[in-house]
Amino acid sequence: MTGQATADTADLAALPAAQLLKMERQIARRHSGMFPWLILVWAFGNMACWLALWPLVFTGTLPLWAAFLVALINLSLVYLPTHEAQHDIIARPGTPLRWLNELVGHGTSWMIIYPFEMLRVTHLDHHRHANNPLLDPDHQISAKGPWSAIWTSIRERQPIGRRQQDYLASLERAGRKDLIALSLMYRLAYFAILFALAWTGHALEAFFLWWLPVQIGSTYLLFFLSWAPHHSGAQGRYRDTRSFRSRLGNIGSMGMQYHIVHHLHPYIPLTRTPAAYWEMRPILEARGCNIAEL
Amino acid sequence: MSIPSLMAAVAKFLPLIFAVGFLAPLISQSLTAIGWNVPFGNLSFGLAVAIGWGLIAQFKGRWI
Repeated sequence: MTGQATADTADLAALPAAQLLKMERQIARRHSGMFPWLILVWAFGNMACWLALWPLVFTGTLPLWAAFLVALINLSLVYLPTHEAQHDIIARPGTPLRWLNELVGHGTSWMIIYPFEMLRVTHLDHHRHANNPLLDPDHQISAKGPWSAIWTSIRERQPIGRRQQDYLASLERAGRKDLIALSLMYRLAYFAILFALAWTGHALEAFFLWWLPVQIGSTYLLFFLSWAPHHSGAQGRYRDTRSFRSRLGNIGSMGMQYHIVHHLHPYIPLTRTPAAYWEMRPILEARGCNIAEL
Repeated sequence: MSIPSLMAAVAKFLPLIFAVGFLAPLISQSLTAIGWNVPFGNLSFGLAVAIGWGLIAQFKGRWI
């Protein structure tokens, strides 16, 4: 850190909290409101690519091992566009392009076997109660180290794992029992497709193009979205999320190094969070946020 | 039986249903793909392993 930055932080720390919040919001506004074209291309391009793998494999045009590697990337990338839609970043309610926001969410979340509305309700609950052991539906991923986090993520997705229970509890608290039935319908429909493929001689294709990539993708996603930015376990607006430096870089960690900015200002598009972070960093430092790594 | 209660009943037995519906043919077709032919047939073997594993998952609540 430069001497100037240190001086800036000291000056900022002397300002009242309301003034810091005002400055923070001014920066956030500068990095929001634009139409996220990249997310739109990402959402539907990714889905088209994954859907194309099936005929390519069935016709022998693409070997299964190569298609598996592509499917692994595709199914790891499904969640983030739906995440933008969950936060109304593509279009807010009541705006002309609202239908597009909902189309991105509903049109792609089925690939990871979740109804979009269920993802939205539970994710907003995570924002409200981040790191609260009783109320944060993503808290079950808490673990001391990265390997322990990966194992915890796999363990908690088992039939008696906490993940399912915490999500059910979140939906019940929100009064959305209808989404519990809808989630079960998605799961049963998914199984019906897998069974039909398997019993017609395509079990390996179903396994390598869908089942296994969803499992690996979920572990990867939970690691970077739930564990890495939140594992301090602290609670509170300026404490529950941290910035971090990933060995996989910003793209390899899906932009989650700057997740703190997302939790503070969830309306900023994913692609703008790095720029917003660097502009906001002195304020975050003055606030005492956990940003030492980045 | 209403549709929601039928769905709930099915959900209770998902590990076992998954074992028979997916795991058994998957094991069988994996053996065939690597050129193995086990006694009593690959599908019988797949069903035996899958049902055994599925029962464990059903009662213990975890696959691993």
